Amino acid sequence: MSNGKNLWIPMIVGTSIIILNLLFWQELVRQEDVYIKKNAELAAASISHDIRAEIQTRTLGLLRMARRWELEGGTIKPKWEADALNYYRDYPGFQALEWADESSYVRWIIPVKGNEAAQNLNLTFEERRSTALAKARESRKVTITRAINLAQGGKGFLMVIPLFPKNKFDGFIIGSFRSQTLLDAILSKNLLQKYAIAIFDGTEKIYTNQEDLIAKIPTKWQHNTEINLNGITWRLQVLPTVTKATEHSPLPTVVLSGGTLVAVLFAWGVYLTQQSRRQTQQLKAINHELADRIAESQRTETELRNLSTALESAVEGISHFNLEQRYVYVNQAYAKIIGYQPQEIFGMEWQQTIHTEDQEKVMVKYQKMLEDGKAEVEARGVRQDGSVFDMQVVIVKACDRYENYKGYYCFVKDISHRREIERIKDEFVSVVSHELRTPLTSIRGSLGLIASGVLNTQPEKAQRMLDIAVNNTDRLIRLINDILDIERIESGKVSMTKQICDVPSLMQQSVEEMQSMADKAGVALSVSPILAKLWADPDRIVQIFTNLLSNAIKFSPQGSTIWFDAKVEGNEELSVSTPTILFTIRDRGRGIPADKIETIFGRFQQVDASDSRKKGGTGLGLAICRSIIQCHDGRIWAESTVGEGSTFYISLPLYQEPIIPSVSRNNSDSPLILVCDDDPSVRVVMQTMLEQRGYQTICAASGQEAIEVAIKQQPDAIFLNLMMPGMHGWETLGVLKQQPQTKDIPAIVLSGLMPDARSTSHANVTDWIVKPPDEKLLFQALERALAGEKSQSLKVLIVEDDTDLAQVLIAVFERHGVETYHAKTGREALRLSQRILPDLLVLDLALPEVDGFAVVDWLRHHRHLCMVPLVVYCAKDLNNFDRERLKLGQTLFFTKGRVTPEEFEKHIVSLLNRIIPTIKGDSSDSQTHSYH
Amino acid sequence: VTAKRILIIDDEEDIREVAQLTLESVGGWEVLTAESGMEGLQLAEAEKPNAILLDVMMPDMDGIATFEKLMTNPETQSIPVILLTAKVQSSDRQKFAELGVKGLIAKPFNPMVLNDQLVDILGW
Repeated sequence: MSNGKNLWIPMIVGTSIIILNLLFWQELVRQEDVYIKKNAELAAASISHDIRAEIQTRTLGLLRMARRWELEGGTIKPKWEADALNYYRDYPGFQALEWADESSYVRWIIPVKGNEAAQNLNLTFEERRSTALAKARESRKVTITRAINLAQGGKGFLMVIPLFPKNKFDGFIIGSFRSQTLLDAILSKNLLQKYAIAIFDGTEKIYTNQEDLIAKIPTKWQHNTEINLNGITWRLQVLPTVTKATEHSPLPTVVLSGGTLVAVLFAWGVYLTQQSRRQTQQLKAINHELADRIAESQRTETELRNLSTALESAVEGISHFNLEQRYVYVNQAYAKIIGYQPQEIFGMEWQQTIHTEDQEKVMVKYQKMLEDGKAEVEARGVRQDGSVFDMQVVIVKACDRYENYKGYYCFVKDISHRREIERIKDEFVSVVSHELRTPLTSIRGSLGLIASGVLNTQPEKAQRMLDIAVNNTDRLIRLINDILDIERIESGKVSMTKQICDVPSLMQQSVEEMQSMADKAGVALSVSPILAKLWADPDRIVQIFTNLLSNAIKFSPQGSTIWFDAKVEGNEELSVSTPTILFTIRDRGRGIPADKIETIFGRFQQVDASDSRKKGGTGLGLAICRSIIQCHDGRIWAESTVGEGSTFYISLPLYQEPIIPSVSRNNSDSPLILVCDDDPSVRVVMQTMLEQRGYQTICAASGQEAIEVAIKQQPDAIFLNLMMPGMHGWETLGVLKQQPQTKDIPAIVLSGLMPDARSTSHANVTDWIVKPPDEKLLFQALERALAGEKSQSLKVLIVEDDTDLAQVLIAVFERHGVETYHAKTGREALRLSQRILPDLLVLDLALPEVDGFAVVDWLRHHRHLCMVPLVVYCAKDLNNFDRERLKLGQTLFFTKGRVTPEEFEKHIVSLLNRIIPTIKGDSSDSQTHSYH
Repeated sequence: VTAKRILIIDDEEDIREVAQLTLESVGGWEVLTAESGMEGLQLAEAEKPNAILLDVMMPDMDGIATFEKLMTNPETQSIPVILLTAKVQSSDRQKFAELGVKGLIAKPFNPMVLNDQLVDILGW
């Protein structure tokens, strides 16, 4: 709404009211005029009447004198003078009363004084007088002259009455009037005040009461009338005086001014109303805006409060410096980064927290901040304790609201850790690339020489080059496996398949694996297991043990002993004590320098880099160990004295079984089992396990002892180790089978060795358990042995498109007396598996036509094959999702290249041993061997 | 081309062996080998080879330290040194070039062109 438009309405309202008011006022004025005029008319009538009446009165007086004159036939002078004087006194306005004789000479005159000029005056000297005298004498009536100049001076007129006593003319009685005096006398004072009056005889003015006013009075109010007096006519002009005219004027004025005022007030009112409405609207808008601003300010306040809290608890260090570059504020993080309490910092100079060598650099950035408002710098900070750290600093200028410089804010991030990680990463990449290129260099070089043919004439050198190529290929494979392994473990891509593990078997298995290496190095291994259990991935734990053992062997002098012990420790540091098992592997090697005792668990952090080449390691072994241990919530560390040897410690949480009251079958009815093993730890483990299950147990430390005990005590079954000093297992078994007292006792081989081709059918053996024994398998085997059953041949279907690899696998299985079938494609595998109903399926995934996944999918829907044990043997590392898709019965996964053929065979045999009871237990109903 | 003598300093036995056989059988050079920087320095001073093939990543005294020692010894400072290294990132190359080595041959090397590379670098 514009201002111009705002004024329209008040202006229209105001103008309208003014116009109406003017009209009203005009009407009032007009009526006033009419009223005034009317008054003037009335006044004129009244005046005219008064004049006539007064003059008539005076005429009658003079007539009475004349009548007396006539009746008396002339009046004597003294009587006349007395009479005249009475009249003169009673009737104001007379100039003189006179008697003129028949010759018109004035003879008598009253009063004499002032009228001397008229004494004896012949009145016929002048026309108007003579005319009047003649007329009066002729008509014998009262006659009045027209206006004359009186002999005494001044304007006036004469009233003439002829005297005819006895019809004889006897002169005239004459009244002489000065018109001004007469009229002043006879006209009422009231009228004279209110009206301007003028009387004319013809055009001669004979009287006026207000000479000067007449001209000033508007003629519109003027009223004229005529007065007839004994033959002459006077014209009377009456005008209301200004006072009179304005006597009633307040009303229109009041109306006009009041109306105008009202108009103005109305207009003003309208304007104000509009204004007020507009102001109300503006107020509303302002209110609205204010409300918004208040809300905004509240929001800002809240944000500020939040920000302040956020600043205080920010991860980054934040500080504020004043103009003197002293600390005035720091948040918790800042204080923590520079190692002070916040209150200690206030007032400190910035130089106290920056490394002296970096202060100049920071000053340069400070200047830049002053110019640009912001600057960034990386510098070394100094903590309260004097320690130095890398930090990233952003400084931002602080100004007050008038843009005056008020100091600066400082944002600090401790980047020591990041720097360290960057350094480690760079180093790792550099080291890895070097580590990978080194074997490749040997491989490329040696094979290049052979391939070029330059060594064709030097077969022994060519052979040497081939050996180098093979060795370095192995090294490269180990390296790649280790690098991938550690990456996968540390990134959590490999989940540990944890289960309850027996500590003795883990230790024993590790020692057995390293035995040949120790033998080669001429180093003895002494193992002292304890009976305890771990919740762990057994393969991974064995991997750690073998790794540490192999390190120990590598660095042990010939003829020395490596001690591998375990003991249970209560964790005293924690109130809720979680007992742990502490494994120690102690050697008499050259030891580790104190500065390396921590770093050896890092990647490629061998004490001596050349060791890895000489000793065949990759430099990643301990790093992998540490990663695995961390996945088991354990700890690994080392202690060492240079020159005296090293001790590696592994602490793992002990698995505590829920306490189940063991069913004691320790009576004469329960079967008696003989365990024959030269290793006391195995005997202890076996005895404990068997007794827990309620079997009676006797132990023998040698073959000879076993035979004696067996003959004497007639056990129900015998567990027999094969590799024993003195009489070995096979000899012992032979003797037992020849003795009539013992030949029917079922014997189960319990050995670290695999069943091999040399004892083709193992005719005398009921079962073969590979150490470390799986508890479940062991007891299943024992129960079967006690029940008089025997292992039968198994059928294995190998699905592998690579014929060479398939031949290797077939050879492995046939060595164990297993019937083996081979399918080259997925389709063939499906056809064959339906015909032979294999006990085990060995499956490659990348197959022509139908791939391994599809084969498994199909088998899952087969009534007899949906639970067939499966070994997936492929080139690809499978993730958990893939593994889930590929599960049938018991399923194992092996990655080609990651397991050696020996390891593969070991796992397969172990699996076969496990599946025997399952299959043979229910062979009668589910296994219908229709094809052979 | 008269038979030149070349000293190979590398801590990797296999690489020494392969390189030696390469230079002998393909190039017909006479080859000396050292398994550490220290041994290399002694051999260089004693035998004055025509050129040195030097590994960089070695324990104890690495290739760079060895090179600097060779350069400060008046007996050996004139012998051209070629680095035989797996460190072949551009930052490494620049660093090595600034040191004043004659040239750089990357590991793994092709034995059939190793001689040619050497000849090129040394201008023989």
